[in-house]
Amino acid sequence: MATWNSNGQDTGGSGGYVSGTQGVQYIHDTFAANGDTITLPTGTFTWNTGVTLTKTITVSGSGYLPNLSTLRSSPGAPTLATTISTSTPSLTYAVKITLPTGSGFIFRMTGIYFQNINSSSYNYLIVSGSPSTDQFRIDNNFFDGGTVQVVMIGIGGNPSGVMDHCTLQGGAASEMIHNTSVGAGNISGWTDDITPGGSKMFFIEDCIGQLTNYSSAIFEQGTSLMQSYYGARNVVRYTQLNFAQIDQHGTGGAVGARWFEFYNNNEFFPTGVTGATSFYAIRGGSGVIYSNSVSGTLTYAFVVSLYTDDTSGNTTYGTAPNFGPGAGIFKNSLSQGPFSSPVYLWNNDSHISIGTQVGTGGWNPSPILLNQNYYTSTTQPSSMLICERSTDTVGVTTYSYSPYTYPHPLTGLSTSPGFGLTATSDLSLTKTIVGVTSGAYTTPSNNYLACFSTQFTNGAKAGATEWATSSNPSYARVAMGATGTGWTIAAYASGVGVVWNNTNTLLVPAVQSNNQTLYAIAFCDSATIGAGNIDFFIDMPNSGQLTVLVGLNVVLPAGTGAVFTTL
Amino acid sequence: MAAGSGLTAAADASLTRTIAGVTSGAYSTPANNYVACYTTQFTAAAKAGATEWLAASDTAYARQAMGATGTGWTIAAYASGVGVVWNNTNTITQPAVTGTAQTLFAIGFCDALTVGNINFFSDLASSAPVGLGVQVILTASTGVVFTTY
Repeated sequence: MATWNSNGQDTGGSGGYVSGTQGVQYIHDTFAANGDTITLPTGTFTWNTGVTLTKTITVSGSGYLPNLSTLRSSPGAPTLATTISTSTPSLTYAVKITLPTGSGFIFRMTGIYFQNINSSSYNYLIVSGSPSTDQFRIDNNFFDGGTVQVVMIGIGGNPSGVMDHCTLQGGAASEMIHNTSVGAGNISGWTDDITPGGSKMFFIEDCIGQLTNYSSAIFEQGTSLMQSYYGARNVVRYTQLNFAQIDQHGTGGAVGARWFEFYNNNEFFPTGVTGATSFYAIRGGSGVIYSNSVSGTLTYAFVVSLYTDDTSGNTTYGTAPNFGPGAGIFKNSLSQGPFSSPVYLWNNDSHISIGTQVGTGGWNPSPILLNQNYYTSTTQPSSMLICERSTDTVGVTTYSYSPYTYPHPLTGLSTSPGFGLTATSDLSLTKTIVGVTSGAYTTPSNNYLACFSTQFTNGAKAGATEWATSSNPSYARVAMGATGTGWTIAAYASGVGVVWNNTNTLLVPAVQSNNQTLYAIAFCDSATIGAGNIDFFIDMPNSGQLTVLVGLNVVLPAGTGAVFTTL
Repeated sequence: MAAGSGLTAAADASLTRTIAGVTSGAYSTPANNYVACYTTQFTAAAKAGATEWLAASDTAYARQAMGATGTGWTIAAYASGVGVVWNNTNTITQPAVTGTAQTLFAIGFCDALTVGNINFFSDLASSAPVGLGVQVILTASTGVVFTTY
């Protein structure tokens, strides 16, 4: 599994490999094999053509470092980045991956900030595959659509994979991700089996999807994190939606999206907006929607609406609407009925309004009805009706839902992130609090920032592996300032506590010799690696991580790099 | 107001300074802990401002010492996913109320027999009348339990 260093450009290159001198496309075509990595350096690169990839490689930028402690807020501009600027690439996309089959590797794209898309006719990324092709992971990227109406990412063919720790933002009416499944005019996405809680889906987790400048919005602008069609099956979980919805299309004249599992997401409603806002628009297929929450202004409803927009009343596949909310698998190319496989919703925030509406164009010959097409409850029903598999019988077959493993196994991560005092500090500070002198907290004479290649985790709050000079000769802990001068400590605020953050920008020496992986940072009381106490820490949010390439610094911006609260 | 428990707002501030290594205004490690009774809550948000019983009203009232250098507390080892659980080791008994009946809405743990700092507290969910001749008792081990996590 070789690493090839590109010059950051999409095209260009000739002859034998020379590190840092050739474009991504040339390296992909000429040198890279499945399982290899192509890196892009820090810097801004204008891609006028785009790249077309067919191998399960990793395309790795230098990443960007978000505010580690505020996943559920806008991370702002990246501070450490490979930036690809693409306005009108001649291929209409910056990156297109056509997934191969059976390579034994996944395709991964990580650590890139995309900007300057200027039309919904262009994409930053297209992933094309099939249910049997290799899987993919898109992580730690920032897809910035600015204030333009954009479609930034296309998913086609129902490949399975995950997008995690990405931020997507676009202008009004943007449909930032299109999952077009098997395409219009093809009903194969409605004839195969769906396994609830299974892996054969497109997962979005731990991401942020938002209307650009959402906090100053004053009216509903119809921006969507994702719109899906033609048999698509999606899972969206642990994701922050800032005035952006998710839409499962019905699409009259064709077939709609097939399956969805939307849970543990949060929708933010800006202060200046009046009137209800859409959280989920369910116009096609079935699935589960549970444990979703809301934030921001709670005066108006957050709406989950279930309706059909098959304006033609299409009966090609049986009784219309044959793919609306609550419809299940097609057998012998025929729907098993408009409510053969009901939607279930439970344990959603009380501010979330669940209801139906008349479909597009006023067509609503077969209303979508509670306790028919969909069911709501405060807790998960122990048994739910389903007709999503060829062996299921309408009104008879039931299932008990369990979500797929979180974090998604393709992330290579299996633990929950932690934050705050280490386990050792919990104990020593408790002794200090009550006055036990033996084993009490040692007040640090200075704080030193350290980097770790594994997590502390929320449970153990200990045991992370610090970077080593044997791998990165330049690595050293970074002093913050004697007697706590490296920290700005605010006064106690009612209901908030004491917020404290790093006063100055902290710069870890540029990585040498080997790329490093950053899973956590911590603050120690000794300058010596491996010595002293690790007092408090921050795991990368929700099991994210950052690849720090040779030559790059880990940077904690002043004021926002590390923010803690004592409450 | 919502009931609170844990460090007071002042202790949040001072302990943060201790954690970060700031010497001015840092947490003052108590030589002893004293249990005090309050007629109002600290509340979860303010974590301050509760009104302590007065000897002028309950002539028997006095803060009760728990033991020097933290000996009044049993501190468990850190447990994964749980944190450090600590509770009062011994039964602590206030003198029987004398003079005027009292209302108990919170207890606090201070670093002085009089005045000093209130380091941590536990509000009651609702106020409890304490009649004349009645004692406030914190049962050993279970009277008050905190977790650092």
